[in-house]
Amino acid sequence: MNRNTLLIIITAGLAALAGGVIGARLLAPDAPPELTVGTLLSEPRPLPEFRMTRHDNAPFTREDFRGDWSLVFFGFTHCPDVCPNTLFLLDRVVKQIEESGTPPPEVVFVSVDTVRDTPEQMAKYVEYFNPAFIGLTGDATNVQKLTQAMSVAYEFRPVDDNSGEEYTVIHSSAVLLVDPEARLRAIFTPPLKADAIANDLAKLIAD
Amino acid sequence: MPFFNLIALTLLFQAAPTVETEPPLRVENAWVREAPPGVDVLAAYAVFCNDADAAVTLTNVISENFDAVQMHATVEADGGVTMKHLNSVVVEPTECIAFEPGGRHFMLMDPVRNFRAGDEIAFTLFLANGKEMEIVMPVRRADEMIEHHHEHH
Repeated sequence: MNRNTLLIIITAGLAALAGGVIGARLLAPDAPPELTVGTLLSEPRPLPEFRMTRHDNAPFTREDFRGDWSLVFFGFTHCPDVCPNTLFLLDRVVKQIEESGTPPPEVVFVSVDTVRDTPEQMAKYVEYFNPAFIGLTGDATNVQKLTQAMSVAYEFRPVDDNSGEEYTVIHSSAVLLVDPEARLRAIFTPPLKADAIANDLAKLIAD
Repeated sequence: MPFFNLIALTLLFQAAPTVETEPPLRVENAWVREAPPGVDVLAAYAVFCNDADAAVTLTNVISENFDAVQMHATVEADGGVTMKHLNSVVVEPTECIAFEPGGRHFMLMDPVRNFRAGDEIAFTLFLANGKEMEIVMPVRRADEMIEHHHEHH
């Protein structure tokens, strides 16, 4: 094989490869990236209007989700195991994305304990995990709007084990991803792994 | 000290732990998660290994540093998670039982003071065979322990 023949073969190969890539993009121009651990909704689900209160007492509405990717987790501050685990994990997710040079998502922790979790309590709580985290509280109606829109289960139940606590809360342990158009876009369910979530998010944010 | 007295003393110290003070369960990776500010419920974790040839049942845990200590498990419930109270935990012979984030844990309620990372907290564990165990758990931030966990598994 002489040098010219080799050059022609390489050029033809590269052209075919480029054609294949362009063809694939033309056939499926909006094909979402494939996620490793997250579940992408087949159709992004727009959030309804709601009104919650941030940990710094500022209002937080659907419009505040616009412009940024947001990771949303529902829980309550008197939750000793799952909530701190998840918030520490989300802190690691954010730091890993930052280290890769991609703008990190907002992290929004929504309390479903409308009685005990005040904005002041939420401020102390979320800042412990990451000063940039946002804590939200609200009345039952607005909490329910958000939980229903995101298909998040929660329920208050009386405690029957003499622990001194009057009630406990059943809540989803999933992490929800809201896109910059205020639409529910993906769900991450346990077991949650920071590396894998960060990789999935980097793909979506870069897409 | 005469040479034979030294040998006798050495033998005494070597023999002593196997007679009375050897704990019925071996405890590994024990730690209390530092509570975020304003939170009066903490969780503690440990791995209990049974090196003996009979099952050991953990029935109760107390500490003078908390109003109440309970054994709980985080369990799936109705599409979410909640905590289930455990009355006892059995450690079978030659097995280990883990109390770990997201699973079994000791729920520590109403601490007598604000414990911070670096503190140590004493607990008494009660077993179904009538024995008691004293253990001391260090208080740590969870992220330190999670990184430690990742490095070793």
